[in-house]
Amino acid sequence: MITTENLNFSYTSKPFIKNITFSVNNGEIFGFLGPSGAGKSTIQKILIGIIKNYSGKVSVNGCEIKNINNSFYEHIGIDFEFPTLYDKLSARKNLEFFSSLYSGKKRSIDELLKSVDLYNDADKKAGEFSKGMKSRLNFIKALVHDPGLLFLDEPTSGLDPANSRLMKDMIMKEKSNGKTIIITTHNMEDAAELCDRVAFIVDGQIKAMDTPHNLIMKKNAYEIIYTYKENGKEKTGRCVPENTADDNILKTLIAQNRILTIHSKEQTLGDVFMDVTGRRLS
Amino acid sequence: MTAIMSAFKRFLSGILDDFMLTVCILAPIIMGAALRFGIPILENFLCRTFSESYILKPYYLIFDLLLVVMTPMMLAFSGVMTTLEELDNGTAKYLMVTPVGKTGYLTSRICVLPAAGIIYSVIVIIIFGISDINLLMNFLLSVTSAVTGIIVSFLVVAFAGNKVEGMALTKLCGIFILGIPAVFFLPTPISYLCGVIPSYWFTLMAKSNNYIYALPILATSAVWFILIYKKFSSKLV
Repeated sequence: MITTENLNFSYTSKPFIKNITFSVNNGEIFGFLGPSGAGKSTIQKILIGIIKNYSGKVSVNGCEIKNINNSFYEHIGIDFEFPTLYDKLSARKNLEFFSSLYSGKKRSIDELLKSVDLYNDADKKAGEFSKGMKSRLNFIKALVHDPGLLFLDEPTSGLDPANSRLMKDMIMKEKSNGKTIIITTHNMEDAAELCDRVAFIVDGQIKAMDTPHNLIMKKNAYEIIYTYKENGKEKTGRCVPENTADDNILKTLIAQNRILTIHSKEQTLGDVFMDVTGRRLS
Repeated sequence: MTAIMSAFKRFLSGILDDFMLTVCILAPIIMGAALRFGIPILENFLCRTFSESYILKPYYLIFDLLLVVMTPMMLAFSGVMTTLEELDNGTAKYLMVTPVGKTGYLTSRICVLPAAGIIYSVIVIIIFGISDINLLMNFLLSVTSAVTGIIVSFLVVAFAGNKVEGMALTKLCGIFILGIPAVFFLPTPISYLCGVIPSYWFTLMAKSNNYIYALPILATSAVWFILIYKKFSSKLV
């Protein structure tokens, strides 16, 4: 579906995107994670054909991006971070207009509006919508022509928990319909929940790429934490799951029924990101 | 093509939904009527008052040239205001990643209106013209005015951050018609300073009825395009 080989690009004479190589399979949700200015959006701009003066190979839907024509956009849907809507038009008119730009099979506008709970506000002007409503409308705008490939830029950015949940459910529903989805985000929780694979982007380079689960597991991220009392004072012990049998204190505490609390602790994708890149997400 | 047509229809609706922009589209007719009926009355009044046989008549061509230039300029202004709004709300960026594409977007937003302005301008001059511009000259002047309209559109989109700045810049772009009075009222060596503006050569072409001046019009327009295009293009990405 998407393949890049040794992708390089810069806005200036100084290298910015450096030797990016990755591929995304059909039906996969792939996430680009990184702090602001890391190069995520630039990579997305290259993948959607806004930037073409790159070096290396970039193939999307079997087309080299440098050679695409406008029909390329019949098969991809893009949801930019900020809503791109006509404020003076109603939600329905917005969708009807954007739908009219495509020639292939279209999705039912009523169904799309219902899916994001905007059906009853369909005739309200987009300019009168709240931020959450605009984000939902913007998302379904990218789906009107039923594209096989979706690019989502910070899809949950600035949304309240309820709208964020709704958006994530919609994304998962599109995946279950067989869509390939590229997400650009700096929200690690969303990425861990939604993405099949993620790539950590820092300073225009991929620092790590794998499934969120594998990235966490590779860093020995799981540990067992237990507390017990000794000489009247509460103490804490830790060990990794693989070494439980070698932890003599833990073995003794279990044998003597002296454990006060015990639980496992997993690192988050954000912790792993910091370990791998030495950078915080901001 | 269907996508570009759809995008153009939306663009046109955007203009017609805005009262000020609709008036701008009608402005050449209002201005033409004012010149056609007002200037001869004013000329009669001045001639009677100062006992002269003619006062304004030698300058009737200036009024017609202003009308020719204003037609695509007003259309370009309407287009630019709508384009700036689309840049502001992000729909411009979005349309460029739909089957409309960047070229389709530019065609539907910047080029179609001034191009339509050619026909509009020719008709306006036929109906309201007060000098003796022949049809071929009328057409050539209208084409070159449309090119100036596109240059002004590029310039305003490239440098204006929003609609308010766009309006101010469009007013500033009034210097693009300075070539018209320069030919009539400035002595020759000084008037050459206005040679960087296509309207200077455009006025010489009309005044001397010599089509060779189409070449410097093309050359100066090309230079303006080259100077502005990079900045304009970067604004769209």
